[in-house]
Amino acid sequence: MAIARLVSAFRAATIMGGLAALGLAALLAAPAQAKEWKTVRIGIDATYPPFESVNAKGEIVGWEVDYANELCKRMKVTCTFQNQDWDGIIPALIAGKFDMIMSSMSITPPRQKLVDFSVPYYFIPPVFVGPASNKSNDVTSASMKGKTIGTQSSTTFANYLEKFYPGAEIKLYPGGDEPQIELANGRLDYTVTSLIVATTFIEKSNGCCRVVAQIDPPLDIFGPGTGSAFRKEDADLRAMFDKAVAEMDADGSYKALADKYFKINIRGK
Amino acid sequence: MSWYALLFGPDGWSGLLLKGALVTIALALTTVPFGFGAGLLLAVLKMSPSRALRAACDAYTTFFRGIPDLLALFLVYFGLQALIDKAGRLLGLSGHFELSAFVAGVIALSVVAAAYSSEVWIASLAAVPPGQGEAAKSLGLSRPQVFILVTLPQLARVALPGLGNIWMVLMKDTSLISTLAVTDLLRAASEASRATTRPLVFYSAATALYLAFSLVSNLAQTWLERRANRGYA
Repeated sequence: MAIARLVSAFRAATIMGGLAALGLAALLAAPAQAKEWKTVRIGIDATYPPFESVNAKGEIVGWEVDYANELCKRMKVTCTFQNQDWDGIIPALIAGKFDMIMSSMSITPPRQKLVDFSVPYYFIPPVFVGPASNKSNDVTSASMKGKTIGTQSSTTFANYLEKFYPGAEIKLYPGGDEPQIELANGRLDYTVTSLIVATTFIEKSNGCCRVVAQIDPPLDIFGPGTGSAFRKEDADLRAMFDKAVAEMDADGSYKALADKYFKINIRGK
Repeated sequence: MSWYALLFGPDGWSGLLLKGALVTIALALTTVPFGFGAGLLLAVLKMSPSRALRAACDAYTTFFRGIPDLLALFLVYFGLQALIDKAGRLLGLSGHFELSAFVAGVIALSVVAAAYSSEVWIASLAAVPPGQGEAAKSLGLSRPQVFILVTLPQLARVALPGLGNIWMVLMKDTSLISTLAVTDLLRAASEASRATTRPLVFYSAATALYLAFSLVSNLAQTWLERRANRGYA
């Protein structure tokens, strides 16, 4: 008896749930229109100091955040930042969790199949990092045979290692700073990362490690530089972004911001 | 920097850790009514005369007890979102309903907690003599009154130890949501340890906080069990 009551209650609940869903649908139904950008949500993987990292208050800070804020001022939009794990960052953009990715993402052909990129806004060569005790500068594939090299997964660094260092044991980590931390712990022989990320880490860790060699980046793996990623249908937002980048280049504010953080020229071409 | 400065100094991370702790507690507490309530419903449905309904409930519990909780979380987060998107498209909507990671966490953990707690509820339902319900009805109590005043207190006495166990596991499972970029206690600790390269300081702090929750939970459970066992030898 109780069961029959429960089952009929369940049926009633299903019907009510269906009606509620339709009600929700009515709320969500909106005529499609050209998007006027007032707020732009930016997805960032904040594990990449000094470009983006999380501070003690839980805020996302770094050069790329400052640069984004400057660009948003010129685009006349309000920008908010969302922390998103690197591995899922492009699917999250496509699923609509945010409107652009500005997370030191290199412009590469496989990524261009899924998203559209802005103009490149920095170019920094990748480097091999090793422990301070390793004085050799030899990074040929032969000398790396059997060594453990770490880097962040789903990155151009990982693609590079997999293509050119088949004899080495490659370890992939979800965060951008994790390989360097593991190197400092002695669990890795080398890591591959951006030159600036490496020097920042080495400074912060009081010289645990050193830059062993700079990599001459093949264009098909590393691309022309770092850009912001947009959904393919958001060409208008991308155009706004490119315009703001050009403005900041022209009036010298890019150089001022970059000089505040970096000792080398990162603008690239 | 000393561990004290890292936590409580002007640039200390204790604020972030405490915010994460609140998220963890909120997630665990929000899951309890849905998870244990659904578990009770499941237990009652499993006593249904309909073979199909019993089989469906058994399939449900076997499935969610058989896969890792992390997998259940991913299935809910990505699968439910995809279902919502598809339903929206089928209904011709252009709006986008976003399933937040916290809500997905609540749903996933409730679904798993329901599966586990249904077994506890079944055992406790069997422990309440049917004569109790009959006697209560003969006294003129309505169906809901019978359940709340007579059945549930006796159920609770048998179910509490098992449910308390599931609660402890649930509280730790909340850390799985850190994989979905929700800043719970574990993720706050890991963000802090990465930014400062001092993992032990922050993971120890997180340990202390989780143990504090366990201690409070234990005290609460002891108190509840003592109340439920009033009148029993």
